[in-house]
Amino acid sequence: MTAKAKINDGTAEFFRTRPAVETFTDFNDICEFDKNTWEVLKDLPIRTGSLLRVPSEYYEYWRIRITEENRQQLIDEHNRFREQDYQERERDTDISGREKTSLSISMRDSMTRFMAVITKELMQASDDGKREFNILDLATGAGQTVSAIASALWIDLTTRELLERTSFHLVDYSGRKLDRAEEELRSYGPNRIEVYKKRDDIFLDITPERFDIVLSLCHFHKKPFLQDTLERVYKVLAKKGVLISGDWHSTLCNHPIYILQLLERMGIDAWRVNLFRDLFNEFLDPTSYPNMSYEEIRAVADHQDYWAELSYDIYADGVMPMKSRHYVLGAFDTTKKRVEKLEHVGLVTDPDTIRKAFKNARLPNNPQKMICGSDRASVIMAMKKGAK
Amino acid sequence: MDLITNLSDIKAFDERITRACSDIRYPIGSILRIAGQYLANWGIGVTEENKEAIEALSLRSYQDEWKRTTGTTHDAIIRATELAGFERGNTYMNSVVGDVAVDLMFAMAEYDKTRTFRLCDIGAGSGETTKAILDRIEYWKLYELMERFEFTLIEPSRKNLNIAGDKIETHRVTEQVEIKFIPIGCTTHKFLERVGKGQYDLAISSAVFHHMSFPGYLQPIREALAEDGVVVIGDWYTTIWKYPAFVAEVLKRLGIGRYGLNDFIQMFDIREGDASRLEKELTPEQQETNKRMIAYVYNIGNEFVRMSSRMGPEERAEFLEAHEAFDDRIGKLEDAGFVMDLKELKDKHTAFVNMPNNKIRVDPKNDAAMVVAGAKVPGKLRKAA
Repeated sequence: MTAKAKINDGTAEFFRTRPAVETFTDFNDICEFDKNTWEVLKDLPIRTGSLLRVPSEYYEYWRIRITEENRQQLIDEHNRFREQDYQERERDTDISGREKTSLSISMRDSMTRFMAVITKELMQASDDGKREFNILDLATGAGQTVSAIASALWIDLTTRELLERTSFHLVDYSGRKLDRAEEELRSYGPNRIEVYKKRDDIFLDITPERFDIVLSLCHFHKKPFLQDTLERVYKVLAKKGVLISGDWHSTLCNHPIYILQLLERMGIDAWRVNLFRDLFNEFLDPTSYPNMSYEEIRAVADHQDYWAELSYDIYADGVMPMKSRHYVLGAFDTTKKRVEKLEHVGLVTDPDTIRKAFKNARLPNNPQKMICGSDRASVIMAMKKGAK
Repeated sequence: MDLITNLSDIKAFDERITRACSDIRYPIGSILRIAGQYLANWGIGVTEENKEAIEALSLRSYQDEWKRTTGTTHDAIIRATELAGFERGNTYMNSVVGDVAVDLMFAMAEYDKTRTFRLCDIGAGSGETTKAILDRIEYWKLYELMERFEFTLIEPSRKNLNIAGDKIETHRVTEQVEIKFIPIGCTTHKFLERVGKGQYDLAISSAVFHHMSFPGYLQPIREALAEDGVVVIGDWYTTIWKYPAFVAEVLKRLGIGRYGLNDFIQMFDIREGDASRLEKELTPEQQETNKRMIAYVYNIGNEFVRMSSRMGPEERAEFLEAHEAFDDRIGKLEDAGFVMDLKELKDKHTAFVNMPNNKIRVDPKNDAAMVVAGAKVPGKLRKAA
């Protein structure tokens, strides 16, 4: 039996007793359905990955309904995939390496630059010459953001002394990366560096510390239950503490129609595309998804361009393309939606309010979009006004 | 040791060095690639008669390498840069060059509110230095400043120039103001041969001039600047190629065979303890820089081996380059007629009045990445006629 036939037989069996328009609520059914979707791009270097990776508020578009019974199970299952994905990237650094394009690295650098200047401005504006600062970096990686901040403070002779009163707290899965981040940061002479080899949500639940600045670079788009994380962030922010998030945004993963478009762009075999259509059939109605702004439409197109080009590069490389393994689905949202989520937990994103709270700080637009005419990347400040 | 000055002898000597190092995982490249002032330490005498030829050979070596190397070479170097701890050097350097450039742009524009300015980014690569400027412009909302500036990017790689164009054209700043951008697809040498006098008000460069063995490029840059033109240079500095004894340590890390190493040691009469003794002449920051450079080169060699299934031997880059001590570069800039002393700049050039520091170390622990700003001549800024 060919792989294609086997897949089709499996899918047919799964749907034999189920209506084609069903949304799944039973956890086992969800897992089974999820596994069936993996078959679409099985053995190819670029795959969808688990449906649980998409933003949880859009699960229904993907035939998954969250209930009180299944919510924690879905969270745990997603975390399990995240951990597996993470371990795989640690073992094979080519995966992340391939996904970094010149433009994506450049945009990350720009976001980091903005986050560093914002942090420096907030610190200067609230400094009284004696106070200490506590900065938390979630999913630190190799410490790009904190190093940029330390560098910005160090290079300016008027702010160098602030470093001696600043403690950095770095949280990441990877001990190896944390070690590098710590070593690099240490050369700037901060007051204290604490490293936590933990998942961010676990750290946020247990830390007794309160933070003046919480940083997150290109991380929140990996969290389908982002609201939960943001509530935890709110809890650990000091009064007038600010969350600064630089991230990728798009609606690519919010609705299966955009993934279908991507599959077609990538030139995936017709039988795989048809399998995807069979899995989602009436859920592929594009009118079921709310209207988007021009910038949001551009962001989806940019995101699709990225994957289509990556796919082309992998095959053009010609050397063991099947060794690659890259997952398309993620919890990307729009900048507007992200701002809503931040405000929902009680954080303030209004730029005038933040500027009033930090009178002498020169701050950029908020949110600060990074690309002309596109919602693809933005830096957002969100302030905690007072005790919850 | 007597210095070799005859060109044929120099070429033969160079080939002998290459042969001795033929089994290492990161090719050494031509000895003529190193900073010209260090060649005497390697037994090569630079004279008026041979200087032009040596410079041409050096340039050809770099150009041949650039033609041979590919995206895979670049990937290997990026990964090795991360492993050696230099991963953010270029990014931070670009940020600092961008910050200093914007400060100077702002000061010059404030002084004369009617003047328009031309900035050239020499060896622009994929436009990251110019992008750092645009990021700062967007952050501080200096859109009016943008209206008065024109950016020229000089870069030999068409692919890089296209990427740079994309970055500029899609930058958020373009929502507020049109960016005047001129791409010039040629090498730095060709550009400097042809550029007219007084064409630019500001020249910037990041991580480029450590490929120039001789300082002849500085005079044309100076002449290309307006009378009150300014220059901002970010670059990598190290003395690791200054002495053969230092390079012997690098060769050992790169896995040179016993016979090759013996040959190299004999060629330069390297004695036990020479490297340590010479190292004592360096500052702690320079020593730290050299350690990191050795790690960097070692890691690149390893990456070339690791990626050997994806890249042919001809795609491997060569490790000898024209890095030099920072003070050497300052000396060259001053010899070319640039003013680099901050006190003098503050006294005589309006754009520098509020500048706290014009020689900026990017990394606190080493001198590897430095940004320096200077001016063509001390003097008041020219007001538009």
